[in-house]
Amino acid sequence: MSDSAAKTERPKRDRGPFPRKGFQILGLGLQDFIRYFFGGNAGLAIVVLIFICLFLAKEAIFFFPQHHHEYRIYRQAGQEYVDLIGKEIDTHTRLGSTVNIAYLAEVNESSTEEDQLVNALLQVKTAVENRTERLGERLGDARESMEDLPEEIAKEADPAKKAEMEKKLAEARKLEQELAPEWKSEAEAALDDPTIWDLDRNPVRLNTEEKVKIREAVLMAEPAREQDHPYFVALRESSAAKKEKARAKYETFKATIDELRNAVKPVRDLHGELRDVAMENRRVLDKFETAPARKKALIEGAEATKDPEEKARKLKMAEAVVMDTPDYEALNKPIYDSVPKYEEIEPTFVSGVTKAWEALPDPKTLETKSGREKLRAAKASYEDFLKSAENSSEKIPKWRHDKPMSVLKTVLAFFFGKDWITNSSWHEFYGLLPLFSGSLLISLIAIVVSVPFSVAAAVYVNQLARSQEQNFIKPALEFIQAIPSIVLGFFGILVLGTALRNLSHVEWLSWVPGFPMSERLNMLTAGLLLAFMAVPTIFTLAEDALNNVPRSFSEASFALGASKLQTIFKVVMPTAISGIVAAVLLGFGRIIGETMVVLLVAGNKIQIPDFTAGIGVFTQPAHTMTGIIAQELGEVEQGSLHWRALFMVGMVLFCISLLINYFAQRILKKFHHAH
Amino acid sequence: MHDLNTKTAPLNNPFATTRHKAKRTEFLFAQGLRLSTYFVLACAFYIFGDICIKGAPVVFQADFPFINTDFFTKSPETLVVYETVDGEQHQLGFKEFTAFKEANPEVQIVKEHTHSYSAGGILGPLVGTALLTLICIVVALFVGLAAAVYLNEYSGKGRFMDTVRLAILNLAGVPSIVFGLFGLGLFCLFFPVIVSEDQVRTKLAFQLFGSNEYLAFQGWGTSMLAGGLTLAVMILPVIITACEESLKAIPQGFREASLALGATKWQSIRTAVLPYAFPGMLTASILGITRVAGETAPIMFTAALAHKDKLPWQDLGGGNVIFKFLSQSVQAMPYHIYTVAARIPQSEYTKPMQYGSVFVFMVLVMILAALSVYLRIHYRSKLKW
Amino acid sequence: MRVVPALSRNLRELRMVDEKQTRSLSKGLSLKSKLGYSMKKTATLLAALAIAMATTQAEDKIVIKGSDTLGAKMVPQQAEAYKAAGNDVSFEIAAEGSSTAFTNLLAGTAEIGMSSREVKSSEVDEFTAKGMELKEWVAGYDMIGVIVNENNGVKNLTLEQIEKIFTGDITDWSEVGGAAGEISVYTRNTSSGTYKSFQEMAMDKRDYSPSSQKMAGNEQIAAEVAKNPNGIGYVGLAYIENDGIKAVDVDGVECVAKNAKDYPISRSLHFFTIKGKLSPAAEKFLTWATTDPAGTEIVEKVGFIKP
Repeated sequence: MSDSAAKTERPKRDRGPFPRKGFQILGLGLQDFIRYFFGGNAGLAIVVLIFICLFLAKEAIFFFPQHHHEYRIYRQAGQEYVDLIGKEIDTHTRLGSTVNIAYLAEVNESSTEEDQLVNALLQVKTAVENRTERLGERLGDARESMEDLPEEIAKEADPAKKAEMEKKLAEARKLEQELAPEWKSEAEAALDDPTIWDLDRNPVRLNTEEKVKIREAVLMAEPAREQDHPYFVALRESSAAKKEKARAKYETFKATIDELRNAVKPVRDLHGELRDVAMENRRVLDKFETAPARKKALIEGAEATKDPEEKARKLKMAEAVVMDTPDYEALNKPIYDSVPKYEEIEPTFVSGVTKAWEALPDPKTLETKSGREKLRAAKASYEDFLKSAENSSEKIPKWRHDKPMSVLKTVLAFFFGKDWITNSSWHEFYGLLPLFSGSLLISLIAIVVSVPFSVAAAVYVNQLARSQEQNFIKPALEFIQAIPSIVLGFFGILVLGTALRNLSHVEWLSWVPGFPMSERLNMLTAGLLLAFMAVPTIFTLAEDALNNVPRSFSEASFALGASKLQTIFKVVMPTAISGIVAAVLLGFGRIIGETMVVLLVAGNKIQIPDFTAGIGVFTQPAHTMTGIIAQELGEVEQGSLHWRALFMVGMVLFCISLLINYFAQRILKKFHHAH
Repeated sequence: MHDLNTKTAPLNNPFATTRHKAKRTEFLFAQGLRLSTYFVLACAFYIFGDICIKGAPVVFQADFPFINTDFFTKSPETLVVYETVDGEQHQLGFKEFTAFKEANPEVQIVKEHTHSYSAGGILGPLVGTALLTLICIVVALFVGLAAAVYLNEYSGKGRFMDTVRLAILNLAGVPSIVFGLFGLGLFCLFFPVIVSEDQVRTKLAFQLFGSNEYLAFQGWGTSMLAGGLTLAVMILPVIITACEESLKAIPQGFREASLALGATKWQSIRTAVLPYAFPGMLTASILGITRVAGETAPIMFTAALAHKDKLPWQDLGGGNVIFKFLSQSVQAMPYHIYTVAARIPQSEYTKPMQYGSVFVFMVLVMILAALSVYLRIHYRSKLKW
Repeated sequence: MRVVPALSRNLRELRMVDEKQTRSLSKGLSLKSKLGYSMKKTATLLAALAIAMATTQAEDKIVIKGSDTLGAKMVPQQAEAYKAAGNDVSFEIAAEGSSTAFTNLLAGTAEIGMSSREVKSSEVDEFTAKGMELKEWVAGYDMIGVIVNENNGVKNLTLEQIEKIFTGDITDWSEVGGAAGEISVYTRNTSSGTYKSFQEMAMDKRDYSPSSQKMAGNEQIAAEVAKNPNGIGYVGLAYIENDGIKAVDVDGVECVAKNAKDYPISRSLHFFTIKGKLSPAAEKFLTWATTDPAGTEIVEKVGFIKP
């Protein structure tokens, strides 16, 4: 079409019936310049877009060699060895902690009633204090000066100052008398407000008598003259006594746990020693790596300075830079020396733990539900521990600091690494998996929530709504698209997060997986907001797809006697399905690339979500690929490994979005060809 | 078309046996679809309403001039909450507070605590966003429009051009944070500047002939220009695609008729194509502005700043005023909202600033969106072929 | 030679810009006239933009970047007070974390860096490698308060317990004497000085537990802990008075300014500048902020301890 038009315009040398006007330079007329102007701009646009790819690639590609290099140092410094032992200790700590929590649940069970009441008092008291804060502070200040001033007056020799102080004291007394009843009435008013009795944690139903006691206790706790209510003193005492009794009852349980936990001691000591050695090694190696650059910079700096003294000082500093290759063998000697010791203590450690584990009581015999659950969960920790112990004892004797680090392994360590630990004093790990899984899960929630709504809306608007309704709904949904994501993030952090958490604490909703949520900012909150953002995108494209279904299809269907609903679901939807799939894909692309909402609302926990929680996994916090770039990029040094890792994350995002778009476009193209 | 099956069905329809139940399910289903549509709208309404209810009181006031002018003529500053001896609590912006203390030395202030960014107004961020958007839209429209004209009117239909089109379309879906990364790498850290010798920070610097200044590839740093251009690059694929769409919608006959009358290519584009594509392009550019104004991620590292006490045009000093102007960082509305949402606590003292900013920002963006909707409807009814 | 109109147009624009620079630039450009059209166009555009960016910083503008602990409250207020005291300067303050102080000083994009931790030896190396030297100014002292929800019954934690909580060895409040409930750990983002200082002072340089949540600033940590009865986090002294939270005693020492000497998690706050590259205006401000009573009064007012 347009090229045929262009051809007719090619400059012709022979003068036709329409002679060309205007100037000509080197055979090129005005038309050509206009053409080149437009072409140049198109070229510029394409160049810029190519630049994007190049720039991302440039920073990202250099990531891998540097990452590999860092890993090599990690090995050369012996840190890898230390981490082998460290992992074993970590799994053991987790095991010990789980078992201990089970034990504590048993012990605390005995005094639950008392503890809950004491806690209720604490909550009510804090709430009242918050409401009477300003008055309370002034009253407290007045009382404090009433107490302090007499002593100072006694000490003070200067009569003028003494008089002044006495005046102050009198003022404070007067103020105190004024404020004390005021405080009391304000506190009473606060206590009369029923909302103050909404307790946040350990929901207990207080009976009237208990409420009265709490009320008395709160009123007794006057600012700067706090007095304990005898009822609660008694409660605390009885709680302690009951706990003591429970402890005696579970004495053997406790002893077994101690045995389990103490078995690690020799290994932990060894680990501590070696950790210091490896840390020092790392420092030496890092110094060695930067030495040439430092020396060069110092010499350059010396040349640049004009002051001879400064110059000499800098040259001397340059001279002092040690350039010798460190003796890796010697650095790692303490580590190699430790192998026999490790091999000696490790079996006793494992057998000690195994013995203690077997001596633990059967979960069934425990009284509390949470205790039983924890003790059962400890079994997985125990198996983890055995596995990691086996792994360590197998690898440790074979470990060599000079074994070459495989390139593939470090590349995989990025894509499948489970840790993203930066700014560490030990070693920085850049593993994409926690971020990727976070991004993916949040996008999944968003898609699962938004697709039904947006497709339903598209079907309704396209097939069922009257035209006035259409004219209202379509622009309204466009308005949603215009809401900036930061506004939604703001809404999430100020309103939605808290609202959802409060909702999840409603008792009759506790059957919902993941409820009650402990965190306000989590994947669910972020996912819901993103779902809301995705609705207009998916709606518009899906509605488009439905619109493109030829009218004759539905007419034919009606002619065959099908009902409206049958036509929609058996004729129109199947025809438009590829367009709808493309819409969902594009919506997904938009969601996974969204930054501000997830940065503010997702909770920023860099850990692979704990899938053992089942569907409840969605209420955990997570960090995302977009979020990590936004949070960390502004703060890292240009060209450092961390910097490049973030660019690499950007590159991954870029590729994901290109892929999604590419497939969506292909599907759309096919869809359009079909009609 | 809606009631095709019911209205036109003859009374003795052989299919109309057990219609009753089917009809009911049909009705229920339609209502279900309707309900979910309106649920989405209700959510939007709730969010909008919540922000309006909490934000509008900050912006409007009961007495003349009905608008809280301070909120629009001041930049964010620290809020001081202080208590006088008689236990009364007052709030003042930091500047006013200092002035108040100087003017009334006899007033004894018992307690004072401060809340960052919670007093003053949002002039600085508003101005910054306006400038960033302006730079962005000027550059993006210029390049994008020209590129679209080339792609649709001049270029051929070859495989290469198809690839280019597909690439542009795909880039439209790249996350904005990736553009931020790119802008930081290219504009802030790589693009050349001319500096004197002692300011050269990179090895990639060339002395300019006959002067002691260097062309150094060390980037512009975080600056308004870098931010504006990053946003322009981000929106470019969208603008190109949208402009091309509106050019494509012009019937081929317009061009052919014009060419047949002896007009040159450019004349026919200028007189027979562009005027009719104008509404579509206008809508696209307004939508572009709406999107650009709301973006935070690309400007986080390239242009935005949490605190700046001068407006961009104040205090430029002498010399290359334009360049000094363009090379400074600015506050921007979305980044300001990020700051007040994440960096300051949520308390009764900070709420006005938080909700006020969000309210104003959202209303502005909504007005732009409404404008684009209106224009589209307006021109669609006007231009018909 | 197709480039002539475009180039001459560009050059005309340039001439209006700055004569001297244009002259040198056009010489440079004429050498490259063999380049293709679009390359040329791009190059000219770049050069024009390059000139557009040929700037020197306004002399009376002080750009301060770095720590959130200093930059969210203290320094903006000092800046406001400094200007209110009749000094004609303007400030730009960005507070993203202590590491940004050094990266920006190194890149020349800030004149003063704020840091809530000591400079790392690797960072010193980077400066030496570029022939620069850092100068340190003590801005004040700070104690890092370990905060829990106000409804949490735990009042005292030992340093060892804190280490174990933040490294993830202890995961339940019952292990430290509270009511049962899984601990939610809130930390700062990784570039924060508080993050690093806390790691060194309270965590034996061990890494944070991966289940810790990274928050953008002190205020956000305080806000989250206030909203979560099982939360724990740490904030600078200036923030422990926030609503809904309370600071626990560490090893029996209460987190209040008068205990600064005994409290185990306390540190100094710094300004950093580059020797020989400090403008007089910035130096005057720093001297004022660190020594003048009006400047140090603000340090106390926002809740830190005077230098």
